[in-house]
Amino acid sequence: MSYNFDEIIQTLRMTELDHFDIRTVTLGISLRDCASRNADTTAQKIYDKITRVAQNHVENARKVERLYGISIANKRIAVTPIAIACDGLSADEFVKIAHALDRAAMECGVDYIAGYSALVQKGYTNGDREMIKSIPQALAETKRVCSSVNVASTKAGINMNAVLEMAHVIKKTALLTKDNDGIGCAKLVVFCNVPEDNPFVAGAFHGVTEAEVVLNVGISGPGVVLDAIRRLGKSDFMALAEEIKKTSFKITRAGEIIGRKTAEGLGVPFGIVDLSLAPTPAIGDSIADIIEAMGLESVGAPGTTAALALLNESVKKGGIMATSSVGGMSGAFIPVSEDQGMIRAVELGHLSIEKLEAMTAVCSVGLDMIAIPGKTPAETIAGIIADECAIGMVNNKTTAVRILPIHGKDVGEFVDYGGLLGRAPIMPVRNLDSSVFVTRGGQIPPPIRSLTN
Amino acid sequence: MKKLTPQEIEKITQAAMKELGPSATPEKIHQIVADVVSELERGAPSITLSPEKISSEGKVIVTAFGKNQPGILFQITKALFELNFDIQDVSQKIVQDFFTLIIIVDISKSAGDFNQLKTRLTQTGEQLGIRVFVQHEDIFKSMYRV
Repeated sequence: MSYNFDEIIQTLRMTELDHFDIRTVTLGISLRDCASRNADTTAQKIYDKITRVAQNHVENARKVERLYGISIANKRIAVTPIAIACDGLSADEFVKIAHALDRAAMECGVDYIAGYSALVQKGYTNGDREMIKSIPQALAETKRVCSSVNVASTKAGINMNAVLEMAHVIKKTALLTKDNDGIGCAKLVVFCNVPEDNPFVAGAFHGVTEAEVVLNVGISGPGVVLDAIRRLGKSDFMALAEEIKKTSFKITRAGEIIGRKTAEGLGVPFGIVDLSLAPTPAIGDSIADIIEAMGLESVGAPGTTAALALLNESVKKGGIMATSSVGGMSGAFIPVSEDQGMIRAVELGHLSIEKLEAMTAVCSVGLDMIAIPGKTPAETIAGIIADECAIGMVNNKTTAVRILPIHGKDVGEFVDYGGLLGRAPIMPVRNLDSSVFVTRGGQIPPPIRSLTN
Repeated sequence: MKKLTPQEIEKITQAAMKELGPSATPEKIHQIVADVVSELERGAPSITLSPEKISSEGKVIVTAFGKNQPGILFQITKALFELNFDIQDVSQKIVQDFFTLIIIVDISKSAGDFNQLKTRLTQTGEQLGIRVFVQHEDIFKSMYRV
């Protein structure tokens, strides 16, 4: 037999028991050619282009799922940052664009469309300013649109005006969507060093240097890594790293072939594989469980950051051999509400925002899906964003903040969004004043490592 | 690319005149109408997609799991025979009461396609009370062969 019995059984074990799936196939579509003299025509052109290019996206991905027997959890769409594609519109007109995106996503049968975004790490254009102003209303009035704003980079430093403004935008979005526990904020990410080919919504968009259309794939598989570590039992760190690398190799190869076939079926170029371990609220599909399986009593215990660094590095090393097209975030995600183990650790008081912040220095993304009391001042949220940006800027990596100030709720309560967004216990935030610092205005200059030439 | 009818262009001209009000001059109206018409006629930006048919070639790996009972191999191979699929290899293990069956099937030479095979074998599995998985071999090739 050309295939080993155990290899076939192992693959089925991965998909059937360990929740292995491809997290997302995301179709990136350029909207740079949709600009027009008036907002209604632009909105119509955007709607027409997306629905034409992506009309078979979901159906095509289902065919690939059937062919390989591996589920693709999400089929999504990313577009050119709207502030760039539609520069020149007013805030009200940007909201019309958001509605067009929402309708296009519905028509194509995708649950989220991302790219309601702006890149302002060094400064605002008039269009950026108007677009950012429109975010709370756009997120409150649409279901499927996701937004992100890049406010810092290693090259440009941190645009502290944008940091403070985004803190206010987050607060306002939470208020406008308070009847749904601030769900608007779950669709809004503030970035430092945002990758332009990230397939993972909510922070996805189709970068301005990308081709007309491209298909990117995000892998998943914390459950598979967890199972491998548990079976390995007691071993030294080298053996542990080896085991994670082998597992990561296999899941990346699966991601690569599924991405390529999906792209072929749509007739679009294949972009990148994002080597990220993305948890889901399902039991066992958890990054926290992996850290605990390595020998820590709970995520949050001293040693957590080291364990996460080992995991993250090994996933990358295993994956890099498996595909030549690495991109996106590529690192373990640590969203709180989407990871059963993280939720448990927060509820038991084992995990604080400060420890999560430390963890973000060694893995991808940042403070993700963290619910905080609704009364937290915007200046404090700006301080949290600035801290995350500083980690990203100095370490030349992506960091992000997706924080949920839950209107009318306080520490001890929780919000439940259901589905992949999960359930978030409200975490305490230090009640210290940051307002004089964050309202200074202007730019925090880039670090010395930005001078690489 | 669609051409606008004279009636549609007339409508646009009327709208432009109304919008401009007293500031309307023939030049201004001509400019606006020309812009709008050219934009509409250009229509939504075009892009060419060249989709390829998702594989109906190569080999497929059929795996069946379940409590052992007489006739499992027979029922599954019967289904494959009826759809005219060529079996390349069969391997079966029984541990206590549970069996695992793996069959490699060539789908390139059959008139039937992958979807037919998958639907039929899933039905057969349901009738027998066992689980049947049907996957294209490429996934195993890419995961286990460097």
